Amino acid sequence: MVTLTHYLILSFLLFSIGVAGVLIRRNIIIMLMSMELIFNSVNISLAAFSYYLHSLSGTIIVIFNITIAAAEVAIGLAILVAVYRRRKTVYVDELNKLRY
Amino acid sequence: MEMHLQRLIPEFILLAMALAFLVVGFFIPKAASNGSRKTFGIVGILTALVSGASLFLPGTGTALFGMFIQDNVSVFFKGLFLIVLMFVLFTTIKYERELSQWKAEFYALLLFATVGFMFIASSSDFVSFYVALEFVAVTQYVLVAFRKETSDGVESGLKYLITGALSSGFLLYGISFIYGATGATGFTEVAAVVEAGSASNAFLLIGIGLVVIGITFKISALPFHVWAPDVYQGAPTPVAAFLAAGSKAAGFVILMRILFTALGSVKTEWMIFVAVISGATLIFGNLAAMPQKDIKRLIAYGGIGSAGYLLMAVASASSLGAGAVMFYLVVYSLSILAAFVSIVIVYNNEKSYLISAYTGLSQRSPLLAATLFISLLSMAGIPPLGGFIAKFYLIAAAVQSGLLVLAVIGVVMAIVAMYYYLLVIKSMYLRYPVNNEPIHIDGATRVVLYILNISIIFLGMYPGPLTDWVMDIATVLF
Repeated sequence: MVTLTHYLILSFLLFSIGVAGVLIRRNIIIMLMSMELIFNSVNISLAAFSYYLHSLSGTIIVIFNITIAAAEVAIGLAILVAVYRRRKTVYVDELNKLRY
Repeated sequence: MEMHLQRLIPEFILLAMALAFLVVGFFIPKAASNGSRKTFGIVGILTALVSGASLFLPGTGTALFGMFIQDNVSVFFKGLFLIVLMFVLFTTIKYERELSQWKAEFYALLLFATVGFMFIASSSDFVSFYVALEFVAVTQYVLVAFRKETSDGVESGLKYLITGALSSGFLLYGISFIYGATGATGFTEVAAVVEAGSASNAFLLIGIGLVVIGITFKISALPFHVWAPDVYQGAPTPVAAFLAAGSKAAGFVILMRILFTALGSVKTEWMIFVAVISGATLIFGNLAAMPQKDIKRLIAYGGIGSAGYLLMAVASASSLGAGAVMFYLVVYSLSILAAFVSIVIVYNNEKSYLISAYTGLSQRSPLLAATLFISLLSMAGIPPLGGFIAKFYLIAAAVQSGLLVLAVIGVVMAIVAMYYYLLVIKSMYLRYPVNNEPIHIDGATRVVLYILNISIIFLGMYPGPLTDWVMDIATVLF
């Protein structure tokens, strides 16, 4: 029997992997992938709540969120291309020009 | 619970003009684009005026089946956003030489972002709030990275995007827990469930924590403050002004709506949490501002400190605090705009944002030096300027709610703030300039600078009408 807790633990694990990926990995493409993981882990949690609460609004947020995450990653990749053209790197360590 | 589209007229006006900008900009030949830049800016300012006038039309109530609420608080904030937009558009006209590849999109995106701010101010449901917030975020990622041919521009754009997307993840995870605890997404429905005590407490607390942390990105408070200095430095200067004034106000209006309206009945649970964030933000922002050598970074760290002051009033969870937040945001926006208009004019002459470029400014242009003097001292909170009264109300709200430690930190940090703002003022007034060439300011800029200076001083000398008004409308939130 799969309960709400199982889904929440799965969602929490994926969320943690995503946050760790953004914080630890230095490759911007992998950081963007980790962000997708964060958004999708939240989608799991929302869908699970929606199913077990017998309420539709959670599912609606999921659908909005899929669209928004796609828009965000589109902008992210566009900025990444601009960064690569200008700086010839995809590693955040090398983006350290802005400081006092 | 019906559509009531007439309540969205102010947003529709801006939206229509932004779409028109995109279409018209497409047909303007490259050769004519120089002359058309100013036209776009002026048309944008006029559109903002019309939209602002239409705020008085629709009356209060809900729209879009309860997702959208038009009350006095949202009208107040929409007015503030439109004022910010007008001055930012003016700054853009002055700045546009730097946008070498000029496109009509820049003006259109500013208008789109303002529409997003207005929807945030009016959202009364977690779904509409999240969509409006992401709408703003996506437009601002583009605006920040707009100078894509410069290496600073793209770097700041990427930093803003990564912090922004991470914070949206936290925010949405928090929303999912609040939804899981209450089974509702509308602020009033959530409030009803929470008040009845039938919400799962653990889920609710995790949700509140994550939502507050997610919103700290918008207001540039700890722990999502890291983007502010880099983005202010690398983004086009008008966009930095827009983020400083607009984004902060949008973050606070929604933070107040969520914490006061939806979760007001469990305020004992989140007061300490917000107070801790506020104290950490106050200390970090003000101490980190001290060694800065770039004026935009200095203002960014000062802005982090201001977020700490504003959170202090949010932590007080009273209508005095909510009114103080609104008053502070008005004064802070005016000061930020006055400072950024001067920064752009100085940059056009000096091609530098370093504080050393301001040496002896008072002898080269008394008006610019006086504007920076007034705006920086207002942000530092010195009487008789508006910033003093604003900080006074914020600290008073904290004391009234018994947050004495926080109030003491606030007063001590006000002294630290005075130190780093006075360093700029010292180099403007007490040093001799390297070159004595006077800085020319045209008539329109003079008028704008006089308007901003006089309103900052006026709000300090005679704050009564505005404070009475904000204290009155703040009661809507509870």
